Amino acid sequence: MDATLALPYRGTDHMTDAELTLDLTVPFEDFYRREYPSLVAVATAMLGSFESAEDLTQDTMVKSFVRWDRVRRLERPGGWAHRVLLHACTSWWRRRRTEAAFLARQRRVEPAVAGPSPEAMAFWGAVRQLPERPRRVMVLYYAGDRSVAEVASILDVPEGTVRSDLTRARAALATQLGA
Amino acid sequence: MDPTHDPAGPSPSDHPSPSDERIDALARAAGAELRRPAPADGVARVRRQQRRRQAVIAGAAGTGVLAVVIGALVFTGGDDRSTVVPATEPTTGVSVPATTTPDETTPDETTPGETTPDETTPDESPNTTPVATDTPDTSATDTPPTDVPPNAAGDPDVVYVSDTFASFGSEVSTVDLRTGAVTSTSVIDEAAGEASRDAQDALMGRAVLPPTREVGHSSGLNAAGQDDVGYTTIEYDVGGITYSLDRLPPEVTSIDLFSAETLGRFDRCGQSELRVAGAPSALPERATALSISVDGRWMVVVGTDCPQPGTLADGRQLASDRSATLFDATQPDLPGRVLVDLALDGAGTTTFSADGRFVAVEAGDGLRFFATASAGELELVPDGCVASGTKWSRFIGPWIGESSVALQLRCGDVGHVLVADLDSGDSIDVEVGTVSDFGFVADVDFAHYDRPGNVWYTTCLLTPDTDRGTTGSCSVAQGNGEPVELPGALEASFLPLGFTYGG
Repeated sequence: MDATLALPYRGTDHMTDAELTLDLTVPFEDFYRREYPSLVAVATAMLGSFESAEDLTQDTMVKSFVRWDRVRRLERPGGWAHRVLLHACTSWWRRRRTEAAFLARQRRVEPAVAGPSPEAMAFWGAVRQLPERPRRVMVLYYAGDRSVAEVASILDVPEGTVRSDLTRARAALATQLGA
Repeated sequence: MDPTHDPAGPSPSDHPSPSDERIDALARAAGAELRRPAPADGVARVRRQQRRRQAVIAGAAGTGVLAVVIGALVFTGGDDRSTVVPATEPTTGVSVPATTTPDETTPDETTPGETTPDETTPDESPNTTPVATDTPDTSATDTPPTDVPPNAAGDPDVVYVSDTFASFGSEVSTVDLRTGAVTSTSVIDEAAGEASRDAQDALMGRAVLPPTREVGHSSGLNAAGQDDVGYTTIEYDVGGITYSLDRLPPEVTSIDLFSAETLGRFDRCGQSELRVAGAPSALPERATALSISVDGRWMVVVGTDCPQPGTLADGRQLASDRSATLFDATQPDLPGRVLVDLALDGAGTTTFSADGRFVAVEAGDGLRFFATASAGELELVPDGCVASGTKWSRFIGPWIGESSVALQLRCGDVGHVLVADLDSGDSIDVEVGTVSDFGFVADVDFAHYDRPGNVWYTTCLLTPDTDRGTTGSCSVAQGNGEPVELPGALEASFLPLGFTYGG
């Protein structure tokens, strides 16, 4: 798909199916490339597993694509995708803990995947010990590279709450990490 | 970093501390390490997955309507009807996330809003008042689904049967579910017993978090005429918090036999100190039992304030009334919510669904069910019926699959097998016939369960026999299908027979 192809926007009523598909597809490609780095970073920070993060990110993108006709009209399509991803991360953790006993018994060895440095993963491991909302705020702000306004929109909280969560979370991490 | 990325909120003094700046720099670097460019074939993979989803939906539609009843479960127990609203409905503002995937079965027609994506919001903090969910649902139907998709988990091949209560040295046969023919017969030996125990062990650990550590102790005291009684310290490590409790062996049924003084750690109600390390706690100081969901999120504490013996003016027996209280295991400083006051003989045994969203408590009047997020009770059991778990439920509770229950109901002298998905509301309720005082035993196939309509189960109606002690009438069936008799069988199971915990 040629990502540089651009159609002058004229509305869609008069467009053929092929043209309509193209009009919908090109923006989704842009959305995919723009949002992917943030989504996979948020998922990796939340899950501690890059492989699982890639899976959940891809699932989120499929959901976005299925609903693309509506998602693309949102003021913040990326915010919607991040919210969907956070829900998926929560569900992942529930399943993971249920599986934990069986994994130990089955002695399954997860394949090694090249990923972030041990220092970065240790940092995010400490972040995952935070209470739920400050954890999400930290992950969205630093891993997802979202602005305070975007974080507030995704989590549906005031911007002041985001700022205070960031301040408190950093203080807690400073204590825990001895920084 | 994005040049439009506004800085995080300043410290109250507008002068961030050195440690705050260090953490900020560390976090930015750690975040940058996680961000990776989109894969070149990513969009193509998205489109392939979307086409696969459409093929699945088309296939499901082609096999008939999926009778997933969202909104209520309806049971017919004799003349009684009860309805229950699955816990996926919000109660007092708390929403429970659905574990079903609407994409697969229900083409999405909702419009994603700015604040509410299609997926429901995750659990909020469990600080809500328990709400009883007994709202009748007019959309419910008691007509069993006629077209159910094939069992995604496959089907069992055999069922194990025995003409006695299987034990070491007795015979066990396997019966082919497709042909009804006996495919093998053998005498239960040590290997068979081991296989039976291993199969049961495989089910354990699904419904409650196993202890992180168990340390046995001797009481060290030998009161005259009494055996030395030991106890066990059970410890659970949950997300940096450690819970520990001392437990008496099962054979100690009365603390008075051994005296609190002899054992030292236990009060006259058999409770020991409930110790919490790593977090502030609002848990009771003493308890008899502690159960934690496998996901480490929820905890039920069974205990009593253990007053002096006697009877209160309202008729309650002191030192015997206990309660089962639900706490957030990740935040033990939050107040708990009493699920049920246990009757005199209520064991209080607690198990959780595999997804942690529901909990079952064994009360004196049978099993009772609650949603963990809201502590609201689910009314699964019709009036006039008593519910118990199926054959192996002593280890795993009544749970099957992620959030389904399999129950034996005794409604007067009529037995039922009830299998219900607490998430979707889908259920089957099969009347197995008139049961004697000996009751009946049902077993469900855990390994191949995907939904109630596809559940495989056996039932054995037991009757007294002057010559043999007990005779049985066993059958095997799937969902609402016709049962297939298992002639001569007294015991039938999908797990190998030959070993039973407790003898």
